[in-house]
Amino acid sequence: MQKFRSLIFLFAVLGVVGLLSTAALAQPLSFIDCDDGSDNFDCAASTGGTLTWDIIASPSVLNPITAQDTASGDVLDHVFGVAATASTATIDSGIFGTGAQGLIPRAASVIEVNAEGTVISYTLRDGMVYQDGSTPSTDDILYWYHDVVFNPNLPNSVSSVVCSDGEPYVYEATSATTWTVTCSAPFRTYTGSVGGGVVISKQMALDLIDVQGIATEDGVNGPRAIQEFLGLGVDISLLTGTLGPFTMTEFVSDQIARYTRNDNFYGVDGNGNTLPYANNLELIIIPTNGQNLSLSNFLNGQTDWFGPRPADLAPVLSQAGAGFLVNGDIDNATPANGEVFTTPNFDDPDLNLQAAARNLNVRRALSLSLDRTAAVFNVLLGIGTPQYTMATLGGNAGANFFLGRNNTCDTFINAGLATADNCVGGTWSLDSGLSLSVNRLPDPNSTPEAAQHLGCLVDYDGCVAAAGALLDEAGVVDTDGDGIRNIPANLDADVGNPGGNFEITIVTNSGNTIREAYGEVACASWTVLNISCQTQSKAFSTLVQELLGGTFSGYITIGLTGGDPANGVNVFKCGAALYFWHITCDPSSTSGLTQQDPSSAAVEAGFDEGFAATNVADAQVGFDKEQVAWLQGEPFYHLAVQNALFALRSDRVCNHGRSSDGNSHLKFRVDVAGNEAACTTNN
Amino acid sequence: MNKNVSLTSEFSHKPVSQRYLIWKRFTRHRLGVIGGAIMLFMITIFAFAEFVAPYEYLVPHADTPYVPPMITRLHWDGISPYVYGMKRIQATVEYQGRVLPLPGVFNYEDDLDKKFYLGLFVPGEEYKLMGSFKGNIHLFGLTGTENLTSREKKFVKFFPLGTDQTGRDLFSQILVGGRITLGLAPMVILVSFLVGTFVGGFSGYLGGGWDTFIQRITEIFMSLPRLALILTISGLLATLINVPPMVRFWSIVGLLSLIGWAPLSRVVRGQFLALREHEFTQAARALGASNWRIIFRQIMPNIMSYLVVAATLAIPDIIILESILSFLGYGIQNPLMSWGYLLNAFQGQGFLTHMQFHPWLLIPAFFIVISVLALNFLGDALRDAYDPFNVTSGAAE
Amino acid sequence: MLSFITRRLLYMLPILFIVSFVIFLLMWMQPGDVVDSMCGLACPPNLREAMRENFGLNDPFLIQYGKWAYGVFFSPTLNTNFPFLHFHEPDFGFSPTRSMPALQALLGENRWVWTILLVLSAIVVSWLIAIPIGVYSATHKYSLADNTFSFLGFIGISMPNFILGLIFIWLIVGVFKLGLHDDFFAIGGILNTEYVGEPLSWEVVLNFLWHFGPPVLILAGASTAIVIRYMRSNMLDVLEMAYVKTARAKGLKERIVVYKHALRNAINPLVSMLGFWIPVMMEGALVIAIVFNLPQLETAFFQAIITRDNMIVMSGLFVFSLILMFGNLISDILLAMTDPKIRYE
Repeated sequence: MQKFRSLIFLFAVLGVVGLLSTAALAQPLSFIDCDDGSDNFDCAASTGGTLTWDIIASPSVLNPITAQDTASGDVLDHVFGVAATASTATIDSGIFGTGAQGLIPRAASVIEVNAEGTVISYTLRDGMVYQDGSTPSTDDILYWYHDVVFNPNLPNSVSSVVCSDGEPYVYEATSATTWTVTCSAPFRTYTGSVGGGVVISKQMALDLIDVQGIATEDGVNGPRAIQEFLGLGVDISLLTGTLGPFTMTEFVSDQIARYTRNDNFYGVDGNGNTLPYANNLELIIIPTNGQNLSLSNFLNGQTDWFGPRPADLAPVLSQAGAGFLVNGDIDNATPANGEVFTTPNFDDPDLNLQAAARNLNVRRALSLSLDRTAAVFNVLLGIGTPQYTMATLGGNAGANFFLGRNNTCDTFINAGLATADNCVGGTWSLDSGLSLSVNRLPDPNSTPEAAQHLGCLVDYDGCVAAAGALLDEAGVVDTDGDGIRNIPANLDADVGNPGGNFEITIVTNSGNTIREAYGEVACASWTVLNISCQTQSKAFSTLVQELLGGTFSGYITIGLTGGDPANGVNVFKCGAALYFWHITCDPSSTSGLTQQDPSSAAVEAGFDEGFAATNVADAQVGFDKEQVAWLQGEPFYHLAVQNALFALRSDRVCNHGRSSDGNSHLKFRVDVAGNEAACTTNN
Repeated sequence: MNKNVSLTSEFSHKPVSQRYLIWKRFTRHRLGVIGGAIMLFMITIFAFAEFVAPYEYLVPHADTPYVPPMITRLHWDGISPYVYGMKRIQATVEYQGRVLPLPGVFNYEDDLDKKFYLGLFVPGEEYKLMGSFKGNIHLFGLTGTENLTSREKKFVKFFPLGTDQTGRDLFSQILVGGRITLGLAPMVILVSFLVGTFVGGFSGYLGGGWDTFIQRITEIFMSLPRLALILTISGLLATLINVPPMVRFWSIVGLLSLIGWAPLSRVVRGQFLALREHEFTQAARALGASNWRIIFRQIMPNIMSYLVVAATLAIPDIIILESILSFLGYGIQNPLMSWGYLLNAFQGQGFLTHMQFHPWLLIPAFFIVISVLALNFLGDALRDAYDPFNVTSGAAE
Repeated sequence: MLSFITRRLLYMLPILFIVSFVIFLLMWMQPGDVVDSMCGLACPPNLREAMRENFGLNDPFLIQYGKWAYGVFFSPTLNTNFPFLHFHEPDFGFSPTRSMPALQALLGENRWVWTILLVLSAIVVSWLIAIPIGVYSATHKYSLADNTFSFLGFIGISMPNFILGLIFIWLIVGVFKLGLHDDFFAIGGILNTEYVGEPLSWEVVLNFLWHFGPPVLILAGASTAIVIRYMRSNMLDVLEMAYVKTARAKGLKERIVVYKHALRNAINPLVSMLGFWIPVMMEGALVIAIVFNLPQLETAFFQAIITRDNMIVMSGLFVFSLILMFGNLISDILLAMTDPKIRYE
């Protein structure tokens, strides 16, 4: 018993000591506090300190070319500088029409675009050096592009560096510090490499290749060498030839990545402060499914920035106190991130489902009865916008085409779809707490279908009735009395389906809880029409297999949120390959989707017209046509657009700006010298 | 466990059967009887889940998400309970001089204009009891709602335990989930016991080469890690095309049985080995009884008490295991329901929001604990009743 | 004794082989392969073919198994030098999602240290708490304390540890909001970030205890309840035995009687169960590690299941099986040591 007693005593002592010492040990982060108690954070741009935030997903590689997932990108973006990135702030004054608009310089200091939008010229910034002291040149850029990106022995994502017609970019060096990138067709602003490529030291690449024995010109390599090329196991100290605003000092996979500023990247601002303003960065890596941890990290003060999902917002706001800033866009934010849609499978091996997908009435009925308002209300908790057609082109560059839309309240009031009470100042509320931005909806006066869809926002029940009528008209009725509608035999004569119950399975890739919830809303909506519906989650790789092999059966709920497999990607099948979403498909090429509906030609024509436009007004005309054609054909069912959200500790972070690509990670707004960032609340 | 049970003092008059003794011993354990009563009650209401539940469990009442439990908002008019309709108000927070909505947090207030009485045996939505019998009478529900418009009807509901994110009634979900959670365990026991007894008995009775071979296989099964293996195989199942929900249910049963049969077969084999040489078996053989007769008449009854003990120990374990699986997302899933799956909301996004603003979503955990507790009491009492001398318990597990 | 141990160890080998075969068979049946994960969506068909060749995905099943097993069992190679048979490090394959050898992804960054620490601490803590309580309950049978402990024990067995974990996290973050008042009390992970990589100091140790302690206690919870019950019944059995009565008759003080003789004999069965506890704890640790997000084997394994990284899943299954078998082995050895009446074939 003696032993037990002393053990208990020891535990008690430890407990008391622990409690006492916590007060003394708490250490604040060392950013200069620029909160003077008012709403105005105006102060001289503070410098120094360590910015900490976290990501939820494990990076898989440290190779900027092969990094397809968001997590790897987050880790690498600060270290591997690209020549330029696309900017939301400047693009709406014209794409590539006049000078550097639309692109923010990073490693390049000057960017010029020719009149047709087919050639971009870059000039390397003066005074940058690699970590090992050597100077970057166009030699490095060309080496990386020709020998690494297009090396058949290295796994890579070639599709992101091709022009819209499928041909690779043409890189040419015009001097040691200037180079051009040329496309035969005008550049699409959402392609990843419009920024002119990554700037990395050729010497470092050669050294790394030597160390790991990869042959680059010819020869077969062991799979391990390929995978390990800048894989997670690479020794950080070998990364001497990176060029970015920061250098990586430590990488513990699944735990943390630490960075120190590279003073030679941007130089100093007008006040002599080195850019970017933070001395160090700390990126906490939380493995997948760690949303709780991320939120509690932020609430505990371990991180300075946080990208909440809608469900995380309430705890943040309710405990906001003096020090949090949630982006002021929370009630009518620019829906810059994440559009979700559900699509039928026009090549479904189940002939009944295939016939149903190809029938316009059925598609319209399913689209009308989708309770999008419930989706936004219940899934996005009100922080989003219901969508009826395609709105964005992917990435913010395209999204901005719709920012200046003319859909004001008057349009809707005149069409009898809203009243002066629930539509105020361009924003339309369903009830007292919820606001929906009307920015992205098509003009309700354009077609009857547009009016009908917009009407669903007000009178959902009427839409369900109309949907039922459409199904009845198509002959999809319950013939055997089991309570489920039947698809009649030979609904589509070409398909020659045998007929049977209308049973839908909506599939999402597992782990994406928001999309799974969307799927459930869709199923609930369609069950009301007496269509049997169930949801299912599948692992991403299984979806890939099924889509590649043509065995996928059912509807799929996916979205446009980037390439992280854990969060879901936009997979469509065309020909023998998978591809990111594109609305038409030539089976002989490797892009797009097989589209059987005759209205697809009109959709595609509008799309092309909008995209080819060189100013916003023309673009809007083209995309209007596309939207209208879309509504008439309903190839996919758009559900909602999710708003980008972030929260940060404004008592600590003075220089904050949303990253130029609107994505969920923070970048310091770095301007070309002479335009230094001040400390303001609204970025 | 009271070791010194003296039978003669209490039951000294008439000769009593084995069953009577067991029953008497059982009823002496008050906790066990309470546990049994709780289980009986639960099984009854879960069997009639669709009838007891006021709404269908899968139907989302999209306009009323995150309603707190309405049991607390029952008012009484004499002995008749009534509730008011709901007014949904978005919770807001004042933040830097602005009033911002708190997404996903709603305050529901009583709409004093609408007063509805709660009645018994109320007609409501149609359902199919246990998938076969159509009906539309629910145990309880709101009366007098016929004249409301469809929009008004959306806010006149009685959710005893509240709703979840999409407005599904939590009480209905718990009822149906309970049916699956509690129904799954006996299935697993049945399958694994059948397999285990058959294999172990076969092995022990025959002996020799067969015995060794079967034992090696059993050993291999017991060398595989339980939870990890189930997670892996369940992950495999998740990738199959269009698995209908009942198939999924039976595959979970199969999975859990997979890990359950091996230890049981071991012990059964041991019992068979021991009893094979026992006197009464030898006597039976000497009398010319056939093998089957020996097995059924002599050996099985002796095994039975062990099986009962093992079953009572295993069922709570299976329930907890299934809850863990469903909580992690690899067990029962949509469109089926289980208590663990209801807690899946706490794995992943929104966990802290739920904890702070919608804690009633944790109620399924309470049900899990209560049912396992009841089963443990019941099992304890049963073990004592069947086996007061602790002969067969004390084995590890 | 030594021969017994050696025999058991040798006996484990063929079982391990068969287990590895079963594991490989299991994963081989999965759709989706490593090339999809690595190459990505828009993988050019010729590159895809080349990679499949490289990874040997077109080989027949037995050859694929052979290659993997060869790597797992230390890649024995014949050599002309002494001692003619060389072994290399075990090679469990390469994980495409983590770009590192699968074994390293599973065990690396000291995951194995934390796993062992968690499991052992939980066992030790549960015993430290349970044995005195069990003894007390036995010697004060049917007292209020005994009944209370017994009831609490029931609750302890009935509550799954992930629920306890959830409630704990909720209390700390939602109700008491400890983290907001003080950075030190963050939840999740092993250490606060500022302490990662720091040299050992008093603050670091305390912070570690804060992160690590609650999971240990929760993990120990259910087994504590079980150990209490066993301890109690064992003590009761022993106390009845003749030699204890004899010791009492000899006039020794009650205390010595109880603690010296009875305790030692009552602990015997528990000691033999020690080897059995280890795999049980590992199973509980799987869930707790996920809830608390500790850097353990189990979390890496669970991640791999989610991301369908077959290599890590296979390695995980194999490592867990190994631990299980060793647990049984230790249990058998301890049992043989402490109870000379038991013999094994």
